[in-house]
Amino acid sequence: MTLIISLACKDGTILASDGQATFFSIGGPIRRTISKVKRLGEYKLWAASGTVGMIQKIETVFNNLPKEILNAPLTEPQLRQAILQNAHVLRVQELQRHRSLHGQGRDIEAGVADLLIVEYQGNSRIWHINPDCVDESLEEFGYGVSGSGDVFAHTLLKNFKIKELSVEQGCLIAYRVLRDAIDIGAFGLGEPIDIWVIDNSGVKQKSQPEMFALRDSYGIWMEAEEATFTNLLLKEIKKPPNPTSQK
Amino acid sequence: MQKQDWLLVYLSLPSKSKMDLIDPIRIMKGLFLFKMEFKEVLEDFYDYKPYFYGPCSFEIYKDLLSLQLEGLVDSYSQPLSRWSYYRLTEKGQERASILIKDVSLELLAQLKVIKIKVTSLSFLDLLKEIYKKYPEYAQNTMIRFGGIL
Repeated sequence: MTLIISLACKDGTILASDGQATFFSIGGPIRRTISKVKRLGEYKLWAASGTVGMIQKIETVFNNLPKEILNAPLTEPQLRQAILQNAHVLRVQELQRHRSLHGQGRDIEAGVADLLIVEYQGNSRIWHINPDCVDESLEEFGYGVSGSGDVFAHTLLKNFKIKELSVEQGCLIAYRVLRDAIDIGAFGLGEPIDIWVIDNSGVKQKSQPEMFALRDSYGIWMEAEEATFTNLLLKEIKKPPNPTSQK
Repeated sequence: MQKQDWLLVYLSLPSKSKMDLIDPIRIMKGLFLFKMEFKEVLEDFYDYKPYFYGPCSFEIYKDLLSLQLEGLVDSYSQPLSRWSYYRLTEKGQERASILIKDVSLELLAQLKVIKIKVTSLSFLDLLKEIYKKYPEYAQNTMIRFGGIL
């Protein structure tokens, strides 16, 4: 289970995820800590939700792409075509394998990979490829999400004007969304939160001290929200009626 | 005294917090106020930058981690708690009591006053006070203390 968030900020792109993956064993699902955000060439990042085995196959495909394709901008048709074609082949192979075992009526149980690929080269780009290899560009909306916790993310992210924010501010929002989803107990989501940034200075993963600073900023933010609610809304509700307005 | 030594001494001083547990915001802010008052005499101390919650030193987070690894500091966190809390271990107390001998009485007394003060105030009152006194460190804040709070 996974939650991946990408934010298209005014000066960079963020890709962030929770840190838990569910592996399947005969005895039952096993949870393990993993890093889900990975580099794609020098200027891009990607992450995926879905079946671990399918995501690993996608990673192998990415690792075998020629360097000039890997480092091409996300707008480059050759890059998009190479990725989509490979993802399609993997999807078809997986469906064939699954159907050979379970028949056609249970396709929904076949392995899947839902991908977010992001870059920043003067502009943020968020490219989403769904498990059936239908793709869409999401930078226009300011964010993209993937994974079983995506409803939490949509609910929280709709309140922010992401494209007007700096990447630093975006990192705090990404932290909050992931932290809230984990705290609420969305099944299979867990620490550690991992946040990566692409901006004009390159690709960078937030360090542990930086993550602590985000955690504490989130704490202060929650304190401020509580205080705002108490001081502004509750006091307003309790305020006695204005005698001059009474008949 | 190195900056990490000041962190240990600060943690060893009495506070208004329960069981002497202290959160990172109050560690950060206490040492910041100390720096601002005594920067002329402090040779090696933490750098601060304006952050979401005012002055922040990423080095303090780093040092808290390394002091934990050395067994000098313990960290406590509870599920759903907003931050971790820190406290010196017995070994940390011993180290701090040695370091305190090298601190002038005046500096030690002031550091005590600062720690009592920052652990007495609410987070928001603490930030408000620091922003008022050092507005240059409030430029990246996520909270504006206007008419609302």
